[in-house]
Amino acid sequence: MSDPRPDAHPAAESGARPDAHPASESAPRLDAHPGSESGLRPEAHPAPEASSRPDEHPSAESDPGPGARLALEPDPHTPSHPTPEPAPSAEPHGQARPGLRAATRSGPGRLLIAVYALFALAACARSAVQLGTHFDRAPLAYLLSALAAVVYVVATVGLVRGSAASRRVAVVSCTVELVGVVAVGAFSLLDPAAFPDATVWSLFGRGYGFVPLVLPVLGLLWIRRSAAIAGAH
Amino acid sequence: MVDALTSVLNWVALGAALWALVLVVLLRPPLPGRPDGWAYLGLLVLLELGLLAQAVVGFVNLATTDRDVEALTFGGYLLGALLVLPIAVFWALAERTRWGIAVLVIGCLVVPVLNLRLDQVWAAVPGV
Repeated sequence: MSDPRPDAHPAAESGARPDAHPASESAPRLDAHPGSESGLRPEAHPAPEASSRPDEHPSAESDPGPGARLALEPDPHTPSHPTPEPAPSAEPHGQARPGLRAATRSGPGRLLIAVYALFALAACARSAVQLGTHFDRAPLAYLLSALAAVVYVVATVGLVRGSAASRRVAVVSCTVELVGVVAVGAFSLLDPAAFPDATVWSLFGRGYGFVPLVLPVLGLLWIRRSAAIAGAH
Repeated sequence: MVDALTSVLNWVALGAALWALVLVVLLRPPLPGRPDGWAYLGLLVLLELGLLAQAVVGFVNLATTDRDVEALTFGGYLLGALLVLPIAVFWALAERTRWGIAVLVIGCLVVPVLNLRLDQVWAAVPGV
């Protein structure tokens, strides 16, 4: 926790590119509470914050770890940075906005991804049991279950990766999900005989508190919103 | 199945969810290194140990019962319940915001849901 704050060094003086990426866990969220917390973070930094950093999205710039970003796309809007930072991170510095990945994964996106992961896990487990033990009992329903499982996994991975391409994949899978839950929901209502055993999407996801119906809508909304956040500054 | 243990776990999980909700409001992530952070994480560790005990007992019951229980589903819920909290804590603490802490609320609420399904599978109630 005593990391040297990369954004505190004089590079910020270069003016045009205020550092929006502390590049590590030490983003300002907690420090926004002056006088709290046990001195874990001596660098409660109102000053650099106020002087050189225009970001007002502290939550949007958090990141699970410096290592997690290394493989990611360098921001095309950032001039490349030939001299390595002294910071313990290869984060490309000098972006004034959170970056697509950080924006996708943080804030509401963090909770959304958690719920998506939960559904991916649940749907996969359920589908594996259905396909593995009694597939012939209700082939259509079980194939749809498997499809739902795949879609949840793809959407989860797409959101977690948070690159431009993976977000497009997430848009497609959220759309498939929405169409699927509406179609299967309606179909299972009209022709219950075709669904002798339930799927995640049966009756619009009633067995799961209708979360399967809401989730793709929230996913699509969040993908739009986070794009706006990433491009806002 | 293991009624006493399961209902204790459910109540503890609900309590932990409520506690996490308070932390969401206070914007105070349960970080290790602070007394209240340790207290909260300690509670989750206890809960996880309880779930582990439940899994052991559950598998023993599954192996010894002569009733017809859907073994794969039942085992899946037993093991799945073990995964939820560690993943939730990992994902929640990576971001010290309200949204991050809210992940803990959801994670804790999942435990009673899984336990409910576990009981239903054990009692052979048709699945949702």
